[in-house]
Amino acid sequence: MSVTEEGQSAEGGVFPLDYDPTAPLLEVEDLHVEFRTRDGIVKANSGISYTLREEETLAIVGESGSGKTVSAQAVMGIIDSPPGYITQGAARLRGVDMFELPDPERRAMRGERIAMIFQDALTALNPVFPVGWQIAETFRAHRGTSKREARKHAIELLDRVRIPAAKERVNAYPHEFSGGMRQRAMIAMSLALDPEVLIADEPTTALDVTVQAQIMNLLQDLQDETKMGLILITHDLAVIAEVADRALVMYAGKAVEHGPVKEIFLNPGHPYTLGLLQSIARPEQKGGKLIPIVGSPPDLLHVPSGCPFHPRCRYRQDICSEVEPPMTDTRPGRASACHFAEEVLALGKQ
Amino acid sequence: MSDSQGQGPEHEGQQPQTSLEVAELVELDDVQGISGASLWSDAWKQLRTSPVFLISLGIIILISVMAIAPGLFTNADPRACDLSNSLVRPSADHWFGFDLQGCDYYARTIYGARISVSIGLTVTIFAGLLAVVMGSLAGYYAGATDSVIARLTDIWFAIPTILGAIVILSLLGTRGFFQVSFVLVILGWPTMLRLYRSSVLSVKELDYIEAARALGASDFRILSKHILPNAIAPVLIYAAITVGVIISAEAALSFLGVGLQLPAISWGLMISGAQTRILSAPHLLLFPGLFLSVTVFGFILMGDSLRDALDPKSR
Repeated sequence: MSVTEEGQSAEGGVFPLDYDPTAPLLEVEDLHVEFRTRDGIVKANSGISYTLREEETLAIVGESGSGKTVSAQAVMGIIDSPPGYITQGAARLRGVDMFELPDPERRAMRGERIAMIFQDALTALNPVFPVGWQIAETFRAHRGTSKREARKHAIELLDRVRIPAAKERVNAYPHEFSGGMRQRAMIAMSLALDPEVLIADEPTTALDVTVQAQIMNLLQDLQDETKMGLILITHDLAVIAEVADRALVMYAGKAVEHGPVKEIFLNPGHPYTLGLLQSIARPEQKGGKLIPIVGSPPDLLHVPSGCPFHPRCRYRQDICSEVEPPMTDTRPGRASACHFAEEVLALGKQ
Repeated sequence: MSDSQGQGPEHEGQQPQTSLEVAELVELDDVQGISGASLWSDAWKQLRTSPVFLISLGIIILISVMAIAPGLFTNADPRACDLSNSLVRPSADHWFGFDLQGCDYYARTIYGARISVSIGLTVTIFAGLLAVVMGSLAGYYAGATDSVIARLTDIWFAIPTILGAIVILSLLGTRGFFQVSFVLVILGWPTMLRLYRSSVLSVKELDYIEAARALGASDFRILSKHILPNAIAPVLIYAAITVGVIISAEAALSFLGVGLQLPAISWGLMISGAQTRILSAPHLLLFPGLFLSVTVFGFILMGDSLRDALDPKSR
């Protein structure tokens, strides 16, 4: 495919930004996002940091309402404001802080260098236009490609995401596609301009299990081809175990654990991660009981004092409700926000 | 969801004619013509077989032809009057009889369609444009822009249309097509604006708007290509009804003596002229009144059938 030639953009002249090719692909640092609502300030993200390298897959894991999607929207720059505000932090793409960019540059960057796919591809495609038209539109908006040319690219892309008979399907409307095909079309749309970073927000949640696997395989294959960095937002631990390199576990808008997926899964360093893993059904536990995490996720308007997880934590001590544990390195490349990280790590070993 | 529809070339060129924008947007598409079904082609498919729609379409076409080419319907000159024919009742030669001035009443009724229909359409189009532009700004940008526009609309909404029009028009010396249309546009936009604003508010929350933003679409592109075609339906429906309402408003203003002025030929003026002779010459009231009612009825019926076709909930 690669229709891209670096720096070539129809939005003309917007692009000579100081990208540093040696800088990390995407570096999010101390991201704070809050929503100012009538009832008070909801801190949806407080101090999220991570780094994404090329060809790497980073999974952002957490329950509903833990701030996963908000962190992605913040990085994309598509938070509705008001009521949402990024109050602190930076998101650097190859060294360029996207939060500092003026709107036109930022917009030109979306789709071009960083793209996103959504949970429900049915609602993420405009129902009144044919799928091919919508893909072609991406080219036309960013590159000013002619209609005919853009349409040709659209067919190529549909083919590339393995939609059979792309030539005929290019004129079909979203509702004529199955769920899996819609998600493929969505992926085609977001990959149209060869972005370096793709954020996939629960890309398989709305699909049935066999299709989920196909979509994940497709994403991996495309990642191998394009060397893009992939941020996978999900609550499906099975998916993460299979495809992600590293994971960032979020709870109540905060990062609680961060590190290579394999190590985290084998030996979690935070009681919340441990709880998540214990609540998955495994074949070898047949007949046994699952251990759920008691209680429910906190209301982000009233985040508990100290460690946000302490009311639900099995290992809590007095200090937990008083002092918020900082993110501290536990092992090389791993960090955990728990006063008793070492003890939890030791627990997992048994 | 809309039902599946046969694909194939027979759908080419049969895009809904209900709105210019839509026709254009759909045409933008394509080198090879579109198959399959969108909301609009689905609606068109339903409309084609709806008797209510066909009846209303028939009425509107008939009245429009009358407005564009009255010569097709009558050879008589509506301004060639002979006082000796004053108030002559309808006869085989002169179906609608004569008015006080001895003018052929059939010819005058036919010629009266032009101004009524053009005021109805002009006012609706301009009020609609105003509503779409302001509604887009208010609905999409929320915050202060929305507050200002929405409050302004609320205040404006409180001005009664007919009373407001009477006050403004009675201040004007000459009252022709332009003045009457202008006043009706000024007073007529708030409802459509509210409608479009609320429609934009619900559409802009949808994932495909966010997806378009995530792919770097500009606000103008999002508003014109993603929001407009998905949010315009309620306004189109209301616009069809509005044409009828405006036509009757114009007639009411002319009847009250603050609308169009003689020598303009309009149904409102004709009804106004009939008011003192309702018993002695009932045909003066009957014919323009009938034409007015049928026209208004046609547009309202059109709005109704558009609603049935475009509102997925009514399926």
